[in-house]
Amino acid sequence: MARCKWLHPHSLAFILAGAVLIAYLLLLLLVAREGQSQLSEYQDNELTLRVSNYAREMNYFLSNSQARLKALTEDSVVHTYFDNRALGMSMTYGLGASKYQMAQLLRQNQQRFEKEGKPVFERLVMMDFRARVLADTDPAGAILEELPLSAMYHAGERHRIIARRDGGKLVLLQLATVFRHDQPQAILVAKLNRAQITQVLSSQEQPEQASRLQLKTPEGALLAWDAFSSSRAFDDPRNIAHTLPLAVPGFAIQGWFLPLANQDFFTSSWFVAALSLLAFPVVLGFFFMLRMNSRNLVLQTKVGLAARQQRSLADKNQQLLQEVEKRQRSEKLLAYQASHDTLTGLPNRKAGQEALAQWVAKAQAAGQGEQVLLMFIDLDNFKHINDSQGHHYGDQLLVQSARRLGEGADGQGMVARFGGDEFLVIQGQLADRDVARAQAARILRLFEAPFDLEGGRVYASVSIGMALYPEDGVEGNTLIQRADAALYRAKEQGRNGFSFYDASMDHFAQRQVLLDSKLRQALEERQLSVNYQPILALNTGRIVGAEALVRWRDPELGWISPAEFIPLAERNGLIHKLGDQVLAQACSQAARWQALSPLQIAVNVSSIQFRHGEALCQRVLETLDRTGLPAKCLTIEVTESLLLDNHKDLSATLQPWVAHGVGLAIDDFGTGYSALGYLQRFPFSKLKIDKVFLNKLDTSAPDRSLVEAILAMARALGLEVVAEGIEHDWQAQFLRQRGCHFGQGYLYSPAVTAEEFERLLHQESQHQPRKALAVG
Amino acid sequence: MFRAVSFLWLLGAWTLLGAAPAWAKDLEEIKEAGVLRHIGIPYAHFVASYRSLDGEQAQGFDVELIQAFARHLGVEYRYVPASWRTAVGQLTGRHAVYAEGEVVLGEAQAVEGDLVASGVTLLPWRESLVDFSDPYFPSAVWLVARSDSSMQPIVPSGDVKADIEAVKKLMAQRTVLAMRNSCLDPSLYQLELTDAEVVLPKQERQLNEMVPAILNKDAESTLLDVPDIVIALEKWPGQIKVVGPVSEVQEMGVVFRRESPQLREAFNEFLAQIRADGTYMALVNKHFPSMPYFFPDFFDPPQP
Repeated sequence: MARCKWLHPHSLAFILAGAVLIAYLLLLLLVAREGQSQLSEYQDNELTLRVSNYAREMNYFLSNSQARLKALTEDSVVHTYFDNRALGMSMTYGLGASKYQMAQLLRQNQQRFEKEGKPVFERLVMMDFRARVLADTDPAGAILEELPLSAMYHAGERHRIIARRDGGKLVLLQLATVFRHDQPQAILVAKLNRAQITQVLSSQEQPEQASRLQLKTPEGALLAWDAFSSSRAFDDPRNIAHTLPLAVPGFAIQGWFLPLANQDFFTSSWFVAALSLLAFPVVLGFFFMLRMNSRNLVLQTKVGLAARQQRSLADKNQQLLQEVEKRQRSEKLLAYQASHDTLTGLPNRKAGQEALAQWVAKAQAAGQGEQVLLMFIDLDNFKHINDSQGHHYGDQLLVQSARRLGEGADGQGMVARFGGDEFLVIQGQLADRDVARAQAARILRLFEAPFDLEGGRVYASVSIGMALYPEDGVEGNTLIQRADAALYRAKEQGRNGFSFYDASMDHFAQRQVLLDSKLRQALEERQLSVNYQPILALNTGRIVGAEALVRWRDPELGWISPAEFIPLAERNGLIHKLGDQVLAQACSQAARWQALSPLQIAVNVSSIQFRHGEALCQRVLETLDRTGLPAKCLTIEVTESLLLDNHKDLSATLQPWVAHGVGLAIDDFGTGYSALGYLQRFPFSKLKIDKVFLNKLDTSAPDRSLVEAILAMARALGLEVVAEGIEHDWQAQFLRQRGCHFGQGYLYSPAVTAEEFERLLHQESQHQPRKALAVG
Repeated sequence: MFRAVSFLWLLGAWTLLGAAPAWAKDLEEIKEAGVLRHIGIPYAHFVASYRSLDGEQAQGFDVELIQAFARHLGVEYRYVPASWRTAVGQLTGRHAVYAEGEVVLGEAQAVEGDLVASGVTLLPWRESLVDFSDPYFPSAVWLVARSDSSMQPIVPSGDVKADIEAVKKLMAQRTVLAMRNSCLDPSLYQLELTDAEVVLPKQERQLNEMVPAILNKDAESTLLDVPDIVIALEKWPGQIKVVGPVSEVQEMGVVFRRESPQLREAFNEFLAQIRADGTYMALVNKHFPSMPYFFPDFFDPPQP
């Protein structure tokens, strides 16, 4: 039952397959017949094309050799000979040399003018029109007679190709006339190489194809190729014959080819019978295969199932292996990431600390005299670059710095990124401090070259703090703290330097920590006060302004110098808050004093505050608005370092102040890297001469000249000048005489409290100005 | 070559003065030194010198000949550049100049070379003054005219002497360019006995400047040596023509110091050897391929 069920569709398939097979055989026969007739047509076309190809190549070959002959007849050597001969020179005295040259020319051309490795010319002969040979590359060759010299001479013919019998053999001669001054002088006769002609005319023939090709000339045919067997003559009328004339009159290409019909076997009755008989065994075989196939079906199904299961198992195994590999890779990556900094690729803080602990442990194990050097390195101006140019820029700088440090470590130590712009360099087996010093100097030198970052080039120096095991600590963390303290010292000492840890640093660091918290508290509780130092017009002695100066008195520590707490505020970021408080106090105070006297109030702004320049600008304008102080009464004092840091778009940042009328003064002019370009680039209205220039005005001629120069320059640029730190009359007199407008200093008044300053203003309005008249 | 004449005069005069040959250097010393120094002066295809990064270099028939000779001796070859004025001093060790027909001897100087080979013409009377090798090259002096001259080239009679007479007859009343103190010196060919109007250039000229001079119409014709004629015919085809011979065949030789007879002997043996083995003719065909046509007897002497 089951057997019948699956036999039935297969029988149908068998009948269908038989019908398809028979239809296929019939189609095959039809296609064969069609192919036969198309092939025959194609052959006819192909042969026509082949013969015309031969004709074209032959024409090309002849015109090519003719062009070479023409070039030879126009060669300067040939012309020289005929010129010298025309002058009547004798062979013995002179002409012989020209003739020798001409013979040499012909010889070289006969040998060197080749086509496919064979010479084109068999022989070259120069003869005059009386058939006297002037030069001959084969003097022993047959004498050339009965050439159409006279005909060519009289017709002024330039070239001709002739065929002639030479001892029964057909030869082709190509003739070219030598003209000199438009007169025919001689004929250059070239015997063409027969092998070249047979080569051209047989290039497309195959020995197994019966064909024959020849060059027909007026003197008979030159046979180039003959592959007809003796059984059938080439001139049998059943053959295909083509004749095509060449460009040279009387010359033609003749070709005979065996037609394809003779080779036809596709349509023979034997072929048909064989195809028909073939159908039976094919059908039988097909049926037999069907039966075999159905019997094996059950077994095949089972085997197939097993194979599928096996395959799926193998797939799962493969997936498992891949998963394991993936896990291993990600674990490795995690381990790497855990110990390495992704940006610079250096070991990270944790790895650095661990490594340091290992170095220390190793040194401990090694025993006495084994030292480990720890360097704490910090990029000096990284924060500034990062803030002003953007994080991308900062990141590039970090990557390049890491690379330089890596080169500097030179395989001797280890470099790790501690965090931010801080790096650790650990080096064991250190001989002494001198080696550490040399190492630090080497690292500083590494940073002398500028960094080429995308879109710019910057200079970045580093400061280095160093601590040594076991001298400065026996634990990793202690060493790191102390190296950090040493770094701090190095920064204090002016950056781009290095420093070793010493015990006094602990005290310093403690005070810094203390001051840090006290300053936060003081700002919170607004304990900072502002004092005012009067600024006077030097010619009248009247107070025209004041410089606001911050003061801090801690209940426990007493007075703390701004020189101590301002840098601290700059470092820990409190400077913004501090600056705002000072500005607000100074502005509101000055606004009140405007009723007494039109005063200018000068407020110092740290370059750190400019890191958020636009916000600063906005706050200043808001403060003016809130306190009611006219913008023109406020002068912002900045130091040259601000300009040196060269904030991006600083000029644009300052613009709103200028637009509102806020004055801008450059403080401590001349003490830093003063460049005249700043004065022009930024909208300054005032500059302040530092007191160091005034101290030795009486004794130092260079100082005098410098002050005079600054004054002259300021005058030329239309800037007002304030001299700082005037302590003596003679200083005031000197400055006044040289056109300095304003001054401040102990000669007039130290910085005083707001109440005291107000008292001074009252006093001035009641009395005459004090010092100015006395020295006037 | 004209300068060769003057320097040979010099050499003769100097030898007659009887200076002691303190610098004498013959074959043995040269072999010991390991270098053969060839004094050469640029002339036709015999010596053509050029400057290269390695200093002054030379090529030409005489250069290859002496290089082959040096290889034959087993010594190195060195080219010593000279001008006709300095060549004497460089060979003999005493500086000398030739001015206004008189020899003026100068300071002694270092000997810089061992032989002079530069197409120096060999004449019987010169042989009494310096040593020449066996002749190694032929030459002759012919009359060359501008192509527009009415002088017609002579028809060779087969006898050079008769041809010379015919040429001298043609010279009558014609301007002929010649040059004193050279192989083109009119007195060498008794031109004073003809009715030719001899033109002598006011300034000293090079031999290769004679043809440009007649093309420039300084004269209608000029005397010229065959090596230069061969070059001129290729250089100015159709502008000049050879009228005929003024001299019989002349010969050139390599010049040696009197005090180096062994070197001279070695050279003569070498010359005979390369003439026999074909090396010599290969050299001739390279540099002067048409010369054998004009001097068949020299290059292929009739067998006795």
